[in-house]
Amino acid sequence: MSVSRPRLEAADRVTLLMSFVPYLLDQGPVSVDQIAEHFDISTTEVSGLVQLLALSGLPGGDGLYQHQDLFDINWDLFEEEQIVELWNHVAVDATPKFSSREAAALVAGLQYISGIIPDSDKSVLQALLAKIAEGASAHPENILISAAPVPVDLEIIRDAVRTDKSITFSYLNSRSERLDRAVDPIRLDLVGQTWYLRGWCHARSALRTFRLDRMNNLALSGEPRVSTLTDADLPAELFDVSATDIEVIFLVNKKALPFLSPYKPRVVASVSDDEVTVAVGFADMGAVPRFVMQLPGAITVQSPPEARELVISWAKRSQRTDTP
Amino acid sequence: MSRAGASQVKKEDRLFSLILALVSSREGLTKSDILQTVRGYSDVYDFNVNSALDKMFERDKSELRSMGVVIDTLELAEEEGETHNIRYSISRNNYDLPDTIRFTPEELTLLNVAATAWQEASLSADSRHALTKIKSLGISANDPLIGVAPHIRTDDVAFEVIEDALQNELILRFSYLKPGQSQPQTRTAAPLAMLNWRGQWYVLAHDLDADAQRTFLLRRIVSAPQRIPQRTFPRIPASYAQQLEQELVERSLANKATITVISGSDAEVRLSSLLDVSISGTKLTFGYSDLELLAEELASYGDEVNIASPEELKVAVQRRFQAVLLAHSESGL
Repeated sequence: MSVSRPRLEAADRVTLLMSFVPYLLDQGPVSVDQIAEHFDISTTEVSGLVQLLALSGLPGGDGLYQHQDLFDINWDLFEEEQIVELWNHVAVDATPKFSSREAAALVAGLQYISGIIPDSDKSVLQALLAKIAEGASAHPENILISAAPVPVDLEIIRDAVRTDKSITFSYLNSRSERLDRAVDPIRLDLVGQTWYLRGWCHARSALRTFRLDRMNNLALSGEPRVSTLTDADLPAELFDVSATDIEVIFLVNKKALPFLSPYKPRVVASVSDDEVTVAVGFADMGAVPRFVMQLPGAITVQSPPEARELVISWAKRSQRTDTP
Repeated sequence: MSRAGASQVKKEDRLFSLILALVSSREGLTKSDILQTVRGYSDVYDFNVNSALDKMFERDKSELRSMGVVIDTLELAEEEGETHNIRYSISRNNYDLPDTIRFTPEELTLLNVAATAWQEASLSADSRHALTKIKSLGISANDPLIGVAPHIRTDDVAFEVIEDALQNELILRFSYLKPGQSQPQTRTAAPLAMLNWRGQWYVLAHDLDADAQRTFLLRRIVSAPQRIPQRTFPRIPASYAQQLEQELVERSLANKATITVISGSDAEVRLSSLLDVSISGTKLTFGYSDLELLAEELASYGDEVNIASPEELKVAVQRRFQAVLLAHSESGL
């Protein structure tokens, strides 16, 4: 169950009302608790929506709603036992079609994560994509995300979870050191095109995040799992944002600002019509050159001087590498 | 049911009542039928002035469409031009998900994961609605063996505006900084598709100045796009996103770059995991769709990468290092 549910808007409620009808027809009497769990909304919302549904219906010619033209439920059962039984329904009884945006959101999302589907099941994916497009009331909107390739065999990780074992692999860290690791896998995260594994690292006795493309020799270990942590115990942030952040000040041409938004820059001052200074936090000074390279020439390090020196020597070194 | 305090009917109540009324009516309802009888309108109906109600009805129609509920309009030949006689209805054929479309618990499990990819975009509400509809079929998802948390980046300033323009066939004006150029240009274009390919958002649009299709990189749209008022650009329905993907794939088959990487470096790890790379020791050969874009990516690896070919790529990367050095030598200190 999701930890925090978004507040329901009118469009959410109308979709739920449309969906309750076929669901209640299909299920027969069903408890408010069960409906809430099935649709992942609160029981208060379910009760409110059921009452609204029970009073909905078709208008008569004079704008008055007549009893026989309304939905009806078993009110006694509802009020005494919080069980919903639909006694009468009007106008609609089927699941509504998807909108073009709804279909597109699912199709693009599916295509994006399709790396988790084993190759042997790829036909399942195609059939599913086709079904969603066919179930839309208009041509699915033109939004697509290409699949993010998975660089390791996920079956090994799934086997480990299935059999309560840990996994081992050799891992290349950001300082180019390769170390053997034993890890209890907990969750796969996909950010942009990069897959990460979050797990309990045996050697460190701590939660760690690993890039799948930095793993080699991934294998199922004979060792049992040591951690009882689950998905729900993981912090939202992929990496520790530690207090040791280094703050770097940049002079930035305003046209470069949209490039920086993922780094959440803090604007320090407006220098001219075209330029501002911004502060950005880094965990490691080594990431500063790559930041500057997002729009070469339009982002300049102001301070600290070490960061400025680092960028200059980095660029000189890089230039030499590429000189024929 | 008491209808005292009439205008207090909630929006969801009004919209759902409108759906029911339009589905059940065989010949359709005129606007005045609707405003006078459907709950949420009839309560506030006034025989003299209804312009506010009219507008509300127009908004409701488009809101229902965005939920997948298509409203048909019928105009009798003999009444053509008399807009007050236009009849509105919802056909079951357009409303009902066909019986042939059913989902398994395994499929729902996958769809649950797919839907979470949109956590920060307005599309997250749409994927949630689609899941609600699928759940109305009574199926529940399986417990997945391992949790999967996808997160597609949609934090570009222009994302929501372009997506909205896509949906509503709008024309936008924005500043575009073409890769490899230093000054942005103003472009006027009607977006046709958005595609995230190899981690970058692309926008396929009809450029109105060039009167031709053009591809833009979302993150290089450097101004907040402005809508051209009162104008739309009708799209011919087509799979533009697939077309664009196909085009990028073909381009990257036609253009090959060869580089060497430092063993064990970040560049080696990342570039080796590209889809179409061929690796021989520390020498990597792979396809690319746009030279400037590739130069931008390779330059960010600095001395971890040495470019063997093509020559233009080498030049484009060099130009970037020079730009950084120039910027850092000029601004004092």
